[in-house]
Amino acid sequence: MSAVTSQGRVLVRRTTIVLTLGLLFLPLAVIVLLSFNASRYGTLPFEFTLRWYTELFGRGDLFVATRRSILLSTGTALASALIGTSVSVWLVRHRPRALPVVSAGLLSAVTIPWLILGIGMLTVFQTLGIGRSTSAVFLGSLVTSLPYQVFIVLARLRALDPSLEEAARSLGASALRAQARVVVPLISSAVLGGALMAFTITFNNFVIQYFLMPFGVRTLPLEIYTLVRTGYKPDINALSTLVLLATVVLIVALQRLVGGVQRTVRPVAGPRPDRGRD
Amino acid sequence: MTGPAIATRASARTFLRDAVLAGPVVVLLAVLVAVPLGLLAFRSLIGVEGPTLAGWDRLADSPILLPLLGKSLRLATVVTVATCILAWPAGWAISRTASRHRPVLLGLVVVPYLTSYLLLIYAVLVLIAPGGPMMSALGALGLADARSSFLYTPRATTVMLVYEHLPIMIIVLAAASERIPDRLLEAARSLGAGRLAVLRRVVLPLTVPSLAAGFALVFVPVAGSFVEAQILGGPDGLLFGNVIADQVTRVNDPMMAAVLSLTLLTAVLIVLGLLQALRRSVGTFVRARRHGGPVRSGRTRVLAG
Repeated sequence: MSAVTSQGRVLVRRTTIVLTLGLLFLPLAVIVLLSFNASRYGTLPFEFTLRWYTELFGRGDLFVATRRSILLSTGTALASALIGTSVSVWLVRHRPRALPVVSAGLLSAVTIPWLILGIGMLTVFQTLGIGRSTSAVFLGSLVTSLPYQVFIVLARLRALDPSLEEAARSLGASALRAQARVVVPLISSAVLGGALMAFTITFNNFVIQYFLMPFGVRTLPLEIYTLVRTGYKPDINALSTLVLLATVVLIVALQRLVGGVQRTVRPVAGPRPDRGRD
Repeated sequence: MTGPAIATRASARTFLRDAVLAGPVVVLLAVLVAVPLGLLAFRSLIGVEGPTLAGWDRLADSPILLPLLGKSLRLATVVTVATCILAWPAGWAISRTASRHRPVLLGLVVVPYLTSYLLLIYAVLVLIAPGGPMMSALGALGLADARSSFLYTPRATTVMLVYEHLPIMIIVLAAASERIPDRLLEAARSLGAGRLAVLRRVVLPLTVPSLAAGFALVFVPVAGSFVEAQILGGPDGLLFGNVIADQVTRVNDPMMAAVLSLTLLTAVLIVLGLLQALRRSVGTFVRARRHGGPVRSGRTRVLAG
């Protein structure tokens, strides 16, 4: 009897998961399917073609915008890995008392709606005489990516056993050498995971780019924004499919590096684990 | 070398170390998070001809602006509650699957969340367009006219915002449910609690803190959203966020942009504050229950001690 109900429960659970995933992937699946459909207006019957992919690579504007987005995201990810990791080391090793202030600043960068943060940043850049510019977008993206980078690296550093470093020191390694040979390899996957997160956030950060990018210079989200308002575009379907594929690869990488996306979101999202149990 | 000289050198080295390690992030946060808020406050009060309350007067006198803020906050509440309701079963179900399957499921859930949300807006636009896949399917079933659609109405914005924030809510709720062990539910059941009692007395109190975090994570971006309404919402779908964005991109009115941004920020912070207060009072309530509550305190204390 109880075996039957527990089987029933498993079935209900599976159905719930399948239905929810179906809902989440329905619009994306439609786009992927339509990207291989010959009709210019997305109408059936389905007829296979790769034409939209070849047209996509022939289109200068989308190609340039994609390259610009990749460059911006890579730059942001590198900078965020460098300064985000060093501030995390500083907070854990040298100045733990600064943690509440720095965390509050980082949390504000995710709590204040980006619409307001973007307009505020634009005001600052205008006051400084920089205005809308590539460097403004870079700095703005950096601020919105840093919280994720820092919280991921901080979590790893806190979990690190300090006796490992002490052991290296007692075996004769200099402080710098102990850092380079022991600490850096142990946190490198968290640093990389944070950088990937920074890349994704910058790649998709429409709002910051909308307010800080110079007029006429378009990143991928800005280009899509301009195109989408004119309706159905088969080559955007092809582009969406490629972006989706890249996202999946990235998520698999994140799973390997930091043990799952849920861990990268949780430190920012959820109640802090160290406070959760009392 | 004398003592003070060594001390000075040491403090200079500490300063250098702090500047190199923490300088960039601290300066960035100060200049691009703290200063912008101060500057917005300044801009909202200082016009071309000196200090003025003209911007705030315009906000108070406008027959449109404050009702529009109310509309945005109501929409954010509706979207957040709908997201919670839709995400909870899936979050719970994922937390009860074998732990080796969980990362795969959560990875799948997060795919739409990490895909550019402009692509998501485009995908939803294609899906619900008149004559598009969804309306054609509904038309074939005789449920709706295939050539009609709710695209370009406020309802399309609501659907889009729920869809967009479903993944993050599922992740938060799955993480919260994971922390409720099965044996706790079994214990409650074996003590005679029915399904509803288990939900109300065990699951809900243990999920409330995460629920509050999830609420904030959805409510804040939805309250400040504007692209979804602009692309999908049609002429009647404008939100407070659209008016703010227009002050910068179309009207070019820095004072009103500052006034409206600060208004939205204040409203959002008030809601988050209320949420925090609610969470705290629920927490106290749960703790009181756990320690026996007023009715059976004596007995529970005996059992506990």
